Amino acid sequence: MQKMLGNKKAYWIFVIPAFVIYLVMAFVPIAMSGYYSTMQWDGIGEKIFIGIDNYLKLIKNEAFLLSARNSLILAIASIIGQLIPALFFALVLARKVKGEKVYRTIYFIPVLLSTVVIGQLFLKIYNPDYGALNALLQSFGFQGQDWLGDKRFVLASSLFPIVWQYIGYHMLILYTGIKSVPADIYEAAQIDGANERQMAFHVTIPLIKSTMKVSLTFAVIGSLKLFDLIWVLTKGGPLHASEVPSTLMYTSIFSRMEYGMGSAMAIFIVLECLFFYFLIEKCFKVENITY
Amino acid sequence: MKKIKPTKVLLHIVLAAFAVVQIYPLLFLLFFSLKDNNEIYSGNVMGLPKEFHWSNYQNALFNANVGHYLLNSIFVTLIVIVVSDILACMVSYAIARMRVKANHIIKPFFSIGLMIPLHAVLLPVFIMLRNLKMLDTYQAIIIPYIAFALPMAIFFMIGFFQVLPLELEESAFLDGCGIFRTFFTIILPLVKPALATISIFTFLSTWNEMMFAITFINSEKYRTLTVGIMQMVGQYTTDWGTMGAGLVVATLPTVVIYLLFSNQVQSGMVAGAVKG
Amino acid sequence: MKKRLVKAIGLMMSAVLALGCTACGNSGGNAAAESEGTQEAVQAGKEAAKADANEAPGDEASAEKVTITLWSQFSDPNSTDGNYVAFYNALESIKTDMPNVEVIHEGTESESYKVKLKTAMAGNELPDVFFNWGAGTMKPYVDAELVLPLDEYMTDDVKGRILGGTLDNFIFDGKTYGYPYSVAVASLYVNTELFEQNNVKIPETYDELLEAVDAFSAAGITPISLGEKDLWPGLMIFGIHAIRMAGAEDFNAALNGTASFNTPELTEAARKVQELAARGGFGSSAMGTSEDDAVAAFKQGRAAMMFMGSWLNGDCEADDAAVKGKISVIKFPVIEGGKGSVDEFHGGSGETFLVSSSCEHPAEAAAVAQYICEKMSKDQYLAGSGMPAWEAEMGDTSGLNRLSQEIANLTADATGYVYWLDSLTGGSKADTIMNEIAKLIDGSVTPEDFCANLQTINE
Repeated sequence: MQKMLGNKKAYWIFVIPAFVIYLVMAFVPIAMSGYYSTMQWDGIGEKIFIGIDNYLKLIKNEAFLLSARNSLILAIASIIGQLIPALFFALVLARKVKGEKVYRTIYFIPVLLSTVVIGQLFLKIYNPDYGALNALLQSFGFQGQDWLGDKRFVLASSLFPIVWQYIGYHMLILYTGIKSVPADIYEAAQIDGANERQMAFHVTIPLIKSTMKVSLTFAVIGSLKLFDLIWVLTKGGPLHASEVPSTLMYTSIFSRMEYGMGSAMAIFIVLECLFFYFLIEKCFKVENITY
Repeated sequence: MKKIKPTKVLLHIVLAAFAVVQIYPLLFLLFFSLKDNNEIYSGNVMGLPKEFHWSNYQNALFNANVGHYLLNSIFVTLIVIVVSDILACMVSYAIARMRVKANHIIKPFFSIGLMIPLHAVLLPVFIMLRNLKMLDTYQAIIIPYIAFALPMAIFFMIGFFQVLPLELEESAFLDGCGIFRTFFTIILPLVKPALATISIFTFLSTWNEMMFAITFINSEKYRTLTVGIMQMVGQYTTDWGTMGAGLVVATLPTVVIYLLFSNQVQSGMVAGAVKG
Repeated sequence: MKKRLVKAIGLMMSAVLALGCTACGNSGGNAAAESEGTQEAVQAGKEAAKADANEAPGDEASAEKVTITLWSQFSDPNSTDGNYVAFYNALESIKTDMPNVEVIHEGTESESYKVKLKTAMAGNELPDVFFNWGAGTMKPYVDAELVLPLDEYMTDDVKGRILGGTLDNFIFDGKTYGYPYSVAVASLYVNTELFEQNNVKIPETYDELLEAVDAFSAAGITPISLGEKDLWPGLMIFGIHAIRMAGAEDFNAALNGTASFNTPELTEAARKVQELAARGGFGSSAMGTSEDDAVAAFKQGRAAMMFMGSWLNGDCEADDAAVKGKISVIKFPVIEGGKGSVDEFHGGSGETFLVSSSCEHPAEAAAVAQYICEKMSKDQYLAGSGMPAWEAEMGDTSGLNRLSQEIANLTADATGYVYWLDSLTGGSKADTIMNEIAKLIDGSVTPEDFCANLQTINE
C-alpha cells in the first residue's frame, strides 16, 4: 500500500501538468502583481521603486478601509444568507422530496444567468422612478427611496442580490456532498428509528463536513474578492459607500492609472483571503472520515 | 397508509414559493428581450411586454455573427472543461490519497488561485501570453481559463476523494492494478457526481467570461458569444431589448448543459458502489 | 531523488519567473525597447499578410497592399449613434478610396475598450491606429513616446481644411498627434411642451432657470435630468457653472495647473451647483440615476431639461422618442456677477485616432487616421452627432438633424471653450474631480473644501 500511495514519481506525474499551467498563468502573474505593488507606476511610463509606500498609503486611505469593512460585512452576510438556506434546501431535496429534480433545476437558475441579467433585474427593482420596490412601498402608503443612490441604503440594497444569487450555487455543492454519502448509511440510521431532523443533524451534517468547508471557503473568498455585480449595480458609489476592495482596485488600475497602488490592493485581497483560508482550515480540521 | 403531516404541507409551500422567486429572473429576461427601450425605461419593466418586439431576435441573431461566436464558445468551453476536469482530478487525488510530504505545500499553493483578483493579473497574464507568442489565438483564452478553473476544481474535489474507503485501492493493488489504472478505472467513476458539479461551475465561469476574451483576442474569428453580445453596448445609447435577445441566446446553452450535468449529480452514486 | 526534484522545480520556477520578468524590464515605456521577439512576430505576421496578398490572383494593386490594424470603441456596426454610423461609413469607403491598404478593425465596447487598450499599451502590443481621447488622457502616451507625431504628414493643404481650434487638445510641445473629427458641445436641452403646459418661461437668466426648477419641482416633474450615478454627467453641470462664474480662460488655467481652484468665482460656482441640487434641481434621486435612465426620462417627457453633449440630438429626434419635435436647445444662461459670457461653451474637439510609434508603416497609418477623421467629420454631423471639425461641402442638408442645426447656430459666435473635465485632466485627476463633484451634489462637502480638494490635483 505505502509503496503505491507513497510513490513520489506517480505523485508528481499526477501533479506536474496542472502545476505547470497554473504556475505560468496564475501564480507567476500574481507574483508579478506583488512586484508591481512596490512600484510607483502608471502602467505606461517608468516604474519607480518605492518599497512598501503603496501599502502604507493604503492603510491610511479611508475609502479603502471602508471597502475592506464592506467586504467583511458581505462575507458575514454570505455565510448567514447563503449557506443556511442552501444547507436547508440541499438537505430537503436530497431526501427524495416529491419534485426533487424540478426544484433542484429551478433553484439553480439565478446562478446560470449572467451578471448583466441579474444586474439589470435589480436595477429595475430598485429604480427610484419606476422601480418595483418603490411601487410596492407606495401602494402600502410608504415613501419610496433611492435604494442605490442613498448612502444609508446602498450597501444593504446591493448586498442583497449578491447574497441571493448564489444560494443555488451552494445548494448544489452541498447537495452533491449529501448525494455522495452512500445510501446504506441512511438506511441503517432509518432502521434505528431516527426521524428526519435527527438524521440531518446527527448523520448527514457530520458526514458532509468537508463539503461544508468547501462551501464556506468559497463563500468567504468569493465575498472578499467580489467585483462583477457590485460594479453593475453601483460602481462602488455613491461616494464610495458600496465600494469593495476589487472595485477600488479596478478604478486605481484602469481609471486612475495607478497601477502600483492597484496591485497593492490586489495583494491585500490575496493576503486577506489567505488569512481566512487558513482560519477555516484550522477550525474545520476534518479528520479523514471514510464511510 | 401515511397520513399527510402539516409540516410536510408547510415544507412544500416553502419549496414552491422559493421556486417562484428563483424562476422569475429567467422570465424577466424573456420579457425583457421582447421589449423596446421605451418600455424598459418605464413602469412596465417587470411584467409581460405590451407589444412583442420579435424583431429584437432578428437583430440579435442576424446582424451579428452569432452562429460563429456560438461555435467558438462551445469549442473553447468544451476543451477547458475536459482538460481542467482531468488535471484537477489527478492533482486532487494525489493530494487526498497519496502520502507525500509535498502535499503540505501543494494544496495551499493551488488554493491561492482561488483568491487572485482577475483584474490585477490581466496585464501579467497578457505579458506571459505575449512572451509565449500566444496572443490572439484560441490558446490565449483556453490556457488561462484552465489555469483559473483548476484551483476551484482541485479544492472542491479533494474532499470527495478523501472520503472514499482505502479498501478500494487495497483490493485493486492486490489484483495487480497499477496506481494509474486504479485511478482511472476504479476511483474516477466513483466521484462522478462531484465531477459533474465542478464541470457545471467551470462551464459557467468559462462561458460567461469576458475580460480575458476581450483583451487577449483581437480577431473576430476567435470571438466568443458573450463578448460578441456585449459589443451591442453603445457609448451613449444601448438597444437593451436586442441585447436581451442576445442574452437569451447565450443563456439557453447554459440551461441545457446544467440539465445534462445535474442529472449526473443525482444518479451518479449508486447505493453500495463504494463498498466495491 | 527528493533533492533532484526540488532542484528541478526550482529551475522551472526561475525559468517561468524569467519569462514574466523579461517583460517587466521591457515595458519601461520606450517603444524602441519592445522585445525583439515581439517585433519579429509582428514582422512575420505582416510578411505573411503580404504574401497572402501577393497570391491573390489578377489584382495588380494588391501586390503592395499594407495591412493596418485599427482599434476603436465603435463596437456595434448596427448602432444608430451618429458617431458609429459615420465610423462604419468611413471604414467601408476606405476600401475603395485607399486600395493600397487593408484596414483590419476591431471594435470593443467602451468600458472594456479602456481596459483592453491600457493593457495592450502596458504590454507593448498596440495596434497601428487606435481611437483615443485627447488632452490629459493622451498626455501619458505622449510622454512615454508611444504615439507618433503627425506633423510631417500634415501638409498645409490638410491643415487648411481643419477648422480652427479643433487641434488644440492633440498638441503637446508644439507637435500634433491627432486629427479631429468632431466638435461636441453641451447645451441646455429644454422640453418646450412641458414648459408651455406648466406656464414656465424658457430661462434666459440664471434666476429664471431657478424659477423654472421650482415650478417643475412643484408640478412633480424632474427639472433637470442628471445621471450622477455614472459620475461624468455631474462634471458637465459643474463645468458650465464654473465657465459662467470664472470664464473659460480662468477655468482652463485652473484645470491645467497654471492657476488655483481656490478663487471666489469657482467657490461661488460650486455653491451654485450645491444650491441647485439642494433645491431639487436634479429631482430627488440623481445620485442613484444612471445616464441611461436620465436620458430615458428626458426622452419620455418625464424631465423638463437636460444639460448634455450634442450626442443627445439623435436620441431626442429618434422615431421612438415621445419628445420628438418638442425639444429645443438653448445656451446655458449667464450667472449674474460671473465673469463668463453666454458665448463660452463646454465641450470641444477631443476625440481622435492616434498612430502607434511602433507602427510598421507610419505613412499609411497616418493616412488612414486622416482619412477616417475627415470622413467622419462630415458624416457624424449629418447623422446628428457633433459639429464638423473639417471644412466640407455638406451637400444636401435637408435631412440634417434639426437640433444639430440649432447648435451650429448657437455656437457660431463662440468665444471660448472648456473641454470635458475628465478627458482634459485624465487619470487620477479626473477621478478625483468626479468624486468631489459627486460629494458636492450630494451635499457632503462645503464649496470651500471642494475647491481646496480640487486644488490638490495641481500640487
